[in-house]
Amino acid sequence: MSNHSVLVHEVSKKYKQKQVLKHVNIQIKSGETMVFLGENGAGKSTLFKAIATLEPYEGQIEFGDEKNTALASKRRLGYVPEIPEVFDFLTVDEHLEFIAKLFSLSGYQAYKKRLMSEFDLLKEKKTFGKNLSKGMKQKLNICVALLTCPDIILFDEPFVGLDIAAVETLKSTITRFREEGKTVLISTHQIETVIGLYDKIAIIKDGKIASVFDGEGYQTLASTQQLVKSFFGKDTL
Amino acid sequence: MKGVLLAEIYRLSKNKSLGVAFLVFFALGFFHVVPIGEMLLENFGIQGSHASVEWQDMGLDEAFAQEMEAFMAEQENLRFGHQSFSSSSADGLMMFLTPLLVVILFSSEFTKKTIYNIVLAHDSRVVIFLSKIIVITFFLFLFHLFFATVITVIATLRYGWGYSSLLIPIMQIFLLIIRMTVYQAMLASFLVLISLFVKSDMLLVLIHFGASLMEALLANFARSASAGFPAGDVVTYLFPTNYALVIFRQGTGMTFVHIIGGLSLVVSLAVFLSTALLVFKNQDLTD
Repeated sequence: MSNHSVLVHEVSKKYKQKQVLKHVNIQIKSGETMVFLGENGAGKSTLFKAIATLEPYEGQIEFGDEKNTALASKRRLGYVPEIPEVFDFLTVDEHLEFIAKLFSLSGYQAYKKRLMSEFDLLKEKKTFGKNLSKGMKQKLNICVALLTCPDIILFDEPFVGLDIAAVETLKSTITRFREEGKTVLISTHQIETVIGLYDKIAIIKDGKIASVFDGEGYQTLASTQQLVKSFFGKDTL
Repeated sequence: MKGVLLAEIYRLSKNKSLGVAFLVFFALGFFHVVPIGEMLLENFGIQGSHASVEWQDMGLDEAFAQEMEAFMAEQENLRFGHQSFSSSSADGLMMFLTPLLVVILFSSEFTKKTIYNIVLAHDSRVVIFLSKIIVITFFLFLFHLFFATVITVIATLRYGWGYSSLLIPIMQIFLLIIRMTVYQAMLASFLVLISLFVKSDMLLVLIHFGASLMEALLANFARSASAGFPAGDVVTYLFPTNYALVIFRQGTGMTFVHIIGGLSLVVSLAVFLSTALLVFKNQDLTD
């Protein structure tokens, strides 16, 4: 039995002529929360999509002892994309019903209602996807990812487009996941939103993992900005 | 597979445009039987006396003229419940419905990236692809069945059943629905294949109508150019527009052109589906 939850081994990805990921190696332990900091185009989203099996890549990715492509692995994963993806002609409630049917969930009604309530979507439950604001779409995508009760959750730039209340809700949700021992991966360039939410920080630069730091020494905005400055020459990304 | 099937059926059942399509099918079914049925009775009943020689005089080749003669002879009975569906223009309506289903279940999934939901839930893209194709085919069948039921019931109420047996025409109608569904599934599989490349809903619809027009022109050309040649039928009935003319006729026996048309239909379906599956299986969904 491996002690890692997510293992990324020698993962590379090329878009046409551009090498987006270059031999990425990283291990995330079970129950660990890791934040991936990097500039736009550094390869954060590509890495997350590769982990989520949304695009082909070279190399190997495992969840525990199984490949990420195995059905058992997929059932462990929740993925919140950077750009919210919703069906135009399904309401908020119908989206969650669709996901429940897709994953053959049972006994999910109470949890569905709780998620909609937490992310302030109850009053929008009959609103069609096409009529939701970007922030609402993002909230819906978070609910969709969480409905299946995954134990590995990927948040790709989750705070973009969210209002202050939703940011706080998402932060407390992530904190709860940490307490519940779930593995959480967050990609962001908004350092200030993730302070205190992580166990480790991975710096991703030019398609490579430049370094991984223990989060304990970087629990304040100032110390994290200092870290970022040492890699990118500026304290914001 | 069950999860994808149930989820996709749920999604389509919530789509308002398909609800509207059911209403349109009902209305057109009604108008087909009542005013158009009266017109058929008046006009085709008289023209039904056209012999094949008269069709040949009008410029049609011998084989096609014989088909037209047989076709016209059938027209007089088309108002009755047992045959009214075979005279309907279900394939004309499906020209609009089939691309709509492909847009919902394939094309828009790529443009809006909602395909991620399903790919995240299942380990096999083959299962995902086949589930979507099954759902499209199921809805095509459902719409044909609905249209056939509307027409048959209204025609029976208005003109009577018109046949001594109840069961045989019902079986013939059912087989016709199956043939029409397979035909539309073939067109849908072609559109699915195109949707994997164009990734634009509007462009897909334009290609659909453009390709239909081109195919009809080519089919017409093939029909006239191959007339009189020994292998003329083989060439003519390779085209969907041409073989649809014969395989969409209710209750006709198996003929050489049925076999060519049927084979052409099955081979086209298999080629489009397998090619689309191969592309989908290896596709980078983030493009």
